[in-house]
Amino acid sequence: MEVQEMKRIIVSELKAEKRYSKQLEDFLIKLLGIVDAKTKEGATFDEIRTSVRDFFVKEVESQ
Amino acid sequence: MKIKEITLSGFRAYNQEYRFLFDDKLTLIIGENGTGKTSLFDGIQFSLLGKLSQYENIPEAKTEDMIINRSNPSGKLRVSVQLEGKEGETIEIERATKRGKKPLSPTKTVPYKVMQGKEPENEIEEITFDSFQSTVYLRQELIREFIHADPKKERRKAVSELLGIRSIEAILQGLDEAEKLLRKQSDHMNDDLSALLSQRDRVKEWQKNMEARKKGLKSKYELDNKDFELSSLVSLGIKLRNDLVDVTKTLDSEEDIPEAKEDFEGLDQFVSGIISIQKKIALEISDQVDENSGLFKELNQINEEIETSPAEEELKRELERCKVQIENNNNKLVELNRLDMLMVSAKEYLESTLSESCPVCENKIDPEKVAWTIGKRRSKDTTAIETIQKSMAELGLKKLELETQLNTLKRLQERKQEIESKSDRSKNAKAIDMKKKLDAIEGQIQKLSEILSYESSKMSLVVEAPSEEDISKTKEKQERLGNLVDAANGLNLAFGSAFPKLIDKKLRDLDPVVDKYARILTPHSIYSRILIKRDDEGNYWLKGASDEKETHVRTMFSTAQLNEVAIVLLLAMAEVSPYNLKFLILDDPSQSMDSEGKMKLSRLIAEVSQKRQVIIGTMDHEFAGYLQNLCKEARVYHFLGYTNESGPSVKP
Repeated sequence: MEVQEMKRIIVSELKAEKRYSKQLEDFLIKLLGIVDAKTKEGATFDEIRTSVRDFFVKEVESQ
Repeated sequence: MKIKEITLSGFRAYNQEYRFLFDDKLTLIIGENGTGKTSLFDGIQFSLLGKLSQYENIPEAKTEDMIINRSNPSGKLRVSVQLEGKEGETIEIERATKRGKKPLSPTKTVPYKVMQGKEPENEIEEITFDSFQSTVYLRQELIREFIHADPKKERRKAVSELLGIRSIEAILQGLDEAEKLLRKQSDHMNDDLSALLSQRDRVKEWQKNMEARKKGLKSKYELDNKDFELSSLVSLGIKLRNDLVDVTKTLDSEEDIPEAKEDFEGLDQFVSGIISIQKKIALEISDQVDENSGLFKELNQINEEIETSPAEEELKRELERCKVQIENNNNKLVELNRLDMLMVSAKEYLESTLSESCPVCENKIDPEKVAWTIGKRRSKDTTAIETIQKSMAELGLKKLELETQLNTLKRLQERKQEIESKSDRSKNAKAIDMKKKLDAIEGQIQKLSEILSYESSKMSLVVEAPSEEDISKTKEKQERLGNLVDAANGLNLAFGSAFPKLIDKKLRDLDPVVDKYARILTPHSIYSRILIKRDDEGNYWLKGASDEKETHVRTMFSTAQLNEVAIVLLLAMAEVSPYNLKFLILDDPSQSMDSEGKMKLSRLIAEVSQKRQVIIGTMDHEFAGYLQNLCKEARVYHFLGYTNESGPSVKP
C-alpha cells in the first residue's frame, strides 16, 4: 500500500477518533517514511515491526 | 510487467550459465524433485528483490555462500532477468555477488537498465517483497499457514501477508510494542519524579525541623550563631578538654586525654573520649565523697552515744564511793569474824571450866546459860556478816557496771579521736566542689553533643537534597515522554481501527473472485463457496459454504481439498492485486489432487493464463499433459536430472 494512501486512511481515523493534531500527522509521516524505506529494501515483517518500535525508542533517546 | 527471460550463472543448482525464455502466457517447467525447478523460481525472486525470503533469519545465511553454487570454480554468481513493461519496453535487472561476501544490502533502487523502449513509470517501484509475495510467487505454504494458524494469534498476520498489507500489521505490532515500552519508561520516570518530589518535601520538612531545633538549642544554651560553626565547636571541645585536665590534675591521677581533632568526624570521636574520662573522674570523686560520708556518719553516731551516756567524772565518783563502801564492809567483816573467833574460844574455855566459879563474881558458872548467851551473841554477828556480804555482792556488780561504762566511753572517745584525725573536712569539701565542676562539664558535653548532632543532620541534608534543576529537568523529560506515549497510543488506535477495515475491504474485493474460481475448481462438492470471514472479536476464519450452511475448511476438507482452496485463494488474490506485476509463479500446484481435480485445475490455469503470464513448476506429468493439451503454445522445459558436476539437465 502506498504511503500517501496509508497516511490518508490513518489521518482520517485520527480525526474520527478526535485524536488528530498537526504534530501527530508529522510524526506519522516520519514513521511511514521509515516503513516505506524498509519495505522497499525488502525488509521482513519482523524488521518492519522492529523499525517502528526503534523509531520511538530513538525519539526518546534524542530527547 | 511480464518476464521475458532469465540468465542464471553460479546460482544455487546452476553451476554454469543457463538461459530460460518465458512464454507470454504459459511456461511449464516439468521435472522430478531435485532437478533445479525451485532454483529457477528462486533465481527470479533473487533477481527482482536481491534476496530470498526463505533465508531470512537463518544463521548460516550470513554470507552469500548458501545461494552460490558449490561446484562453480569461480565462486561467483550472476542473475539477470529481462522484463517487459506495460508499454512494451524491455528492462533488465542484474545482480551479482561472490562467495564469502555478505548478502547484498537491499537498496531502494533496483539495479535496472532499459534495453529497449522508454523509461518505465512506477513499475520498478512496485517490485517489493509484499507485491512479489502476494502477486507473483504465491506460496501455498502461506495459505496452509493461514488455514492452520491459531485464529487469535498468527492468522491475522497470515491474512495481512496474504493480502499484501503485512507492513500495516507490522506497524501495528511495532506501535503496540513501542507504546508498552514507552509506558513502562514513563512509569519508571514517574516513579523517579515522585521520589525526587518526595525527597524534596522530606528535606524541606527536615530543614524546618532543623531550624526549630536550632532555635531550641540557641534558646537552651543561649548560643550565638557562631556556636553552630564547626570551628567554634572545636574550640568548645578544647576548652572542655582543658577543664577536664584541671580536674584530673587536682585528683593527681594520670589520664590519657584524646587529642582534639579539627575535623568534624574527629570532634565526634573526641567528645566520646571526653565523656568516658568525665565518667571515670566522676566515679572516683563520688567514691571519695562516699567514704568520707561514712566516717562522718559514724562520728555523729559516736557523739550521740557519748552525749546520751552519764558523764565520765560522775561515773568515776560513783565508782570511788562504791570502792569505799566495799572497803568499809571488808573491815566490818574482818572485825565480825575476829569477834566470832573470840566467842568460839570463850565457849570452849567455859565448857572446860564448868566446875569453877566465876572469877569475877565467884558465882558458880551455869554452862547452859553461858552457851545460850554465847550462841545468842554469835547469831547476832552471823546476821550482820550475811547482811554485809549481800551488800558486798551488790557493790561488786555496781562496780563492774561502772567500769564497763567507763571503758565504753573511753573506747568511743578513742574512736572519735581516730575519726577526727582520719577525716579531712576540707578535703571532702574539695571533692564536692570538683563534683560540681564535673556536673558543669557534663552540661557542656551535652551541649556539644547536641550541637554536633544538629550539624551532622544538617550535613546529611545537604547531600540528600535534590536540586530544583534536577526536578525541573525530570518533569520536562516526563512531559516529552508523555507526549510520545500519547503519539504512540493515538497512532496505535488509528492503525488498530484502520487495519480491520482495510482487510475487510480487501476481502470484499476478493470475495467475488474467490467465488468465481471456487465454482470452477469446486474443492468440495457440498461447500462449493469459499469465504474468509471476520468475527466480532477480530478473528479471521476460512469457511466453506453451501446455500444452506457453512463449515470450517480446516475441519471438514481433506488435504487435497485444502490444496485446491489454497490455489483458489492464490489465483483470486493475484487477480485483485493492484500491482502491475502480471506474472504468476506456481510451484507444484497439483499436489495431492486426483485426476478430476487436475483436469479442473488445468482448465482454470488455462483461463488465467489468458490474462496473466503463468509459470508453473510440476513433477506431475498427468497435470502437465492436461495443460499442454489446453495450451498448445505453451513453452515447456523438461528438467531431466541433476549432477553436481554438470548441474541441471534441461531440454527445451
